[in-house]
Amino acid sequence: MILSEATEAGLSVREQHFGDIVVLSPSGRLDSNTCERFERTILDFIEPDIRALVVDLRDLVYISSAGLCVLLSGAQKSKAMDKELVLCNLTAHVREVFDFSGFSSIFPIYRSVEEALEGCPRID
Amino acid sequence: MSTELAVTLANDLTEIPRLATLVESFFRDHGIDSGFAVNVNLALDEVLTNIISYGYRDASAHTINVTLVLEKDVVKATVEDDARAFDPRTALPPDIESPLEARPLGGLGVHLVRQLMDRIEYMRSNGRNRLVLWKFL
Repeated sequence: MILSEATEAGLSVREQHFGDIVVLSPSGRLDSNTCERFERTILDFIEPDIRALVVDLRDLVYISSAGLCVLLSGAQKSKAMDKELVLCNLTAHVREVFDFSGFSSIFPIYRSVEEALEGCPRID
Repeated sequence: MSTELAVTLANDLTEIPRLATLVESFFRDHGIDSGFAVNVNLALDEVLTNIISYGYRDASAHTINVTLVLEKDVVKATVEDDARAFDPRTALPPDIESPLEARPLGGLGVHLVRQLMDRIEYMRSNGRNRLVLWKFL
C-alpha cells in the first residue's frame, strides 16, 4: 500500500493504493473552491494501470453541486475508459444531497472501504 | 442577542466558506441545530457560486449583500447583488433520472436551492437582484 496526501485550503485528499485499486479520501469541503483540484486528482488516476477508484466520503463534511459534478464527471470518464468509480462511507449530509440530486441511483455505493474493495473485482 | 446577521461579500468564491462560518455561528448562538445551518449554507453557496461565476459581464470588483433574519418560526436569507438578472424560479428542472453515461453535468445548483428552501422570492429593480430564501424552523 502506498499512501500520500495532498492538502489545499478547505480540502485534503489522502491516496491509498491497493494493487490496481486507488482509494481517495477527501477530507473537508468539496465545493466551488476545491472542486477543480479534486477533479485533477481523479483524472490522474484514470489511467491504464488502475482498475477502479474508490472515493471514501467518511471525512467529507460538506458537498455542493460543484462537488457533485466532479464525482459525476469522474464516474463518466471512468466508465468511458472501462473502469469504475465507486463511493463509500456517505455521511448523512452527503446522502441527503445525493438523494435530492438523483445521484444515489447512479453510483455503486458501499458502506465501507473494505466492502468497496471487495465489490471491485481486481485484475492482478 | 441580535436576530439579524448582515455580511458584505466580495465577488470571490473564497468568500463563501467565510460566510458559512459566520452563518454557523449565528445559528449556534440561537440554539439552532447544525443540520439546519448546513442546509441554509448549501443554498447560499449555490446562489453565490452562480452569481460570482456567471453573473458579471466584467472582471471588476462587486459587492454582494447577504442578510439572515431569524423570526419566530422562519429564517429569511436575502441576497442582493448587481449581477445580470437571474430568477432561479424560472430555471428548468435538471435531468435527475438518466443513467450515469447520459446524465448531464450542471443545473443542479438551482435545483438544490429549490429542494432545500421552503419559499423563494425574487425581485429585480434598479439593476439589482434581490433574492429571499425562506426556511421554516
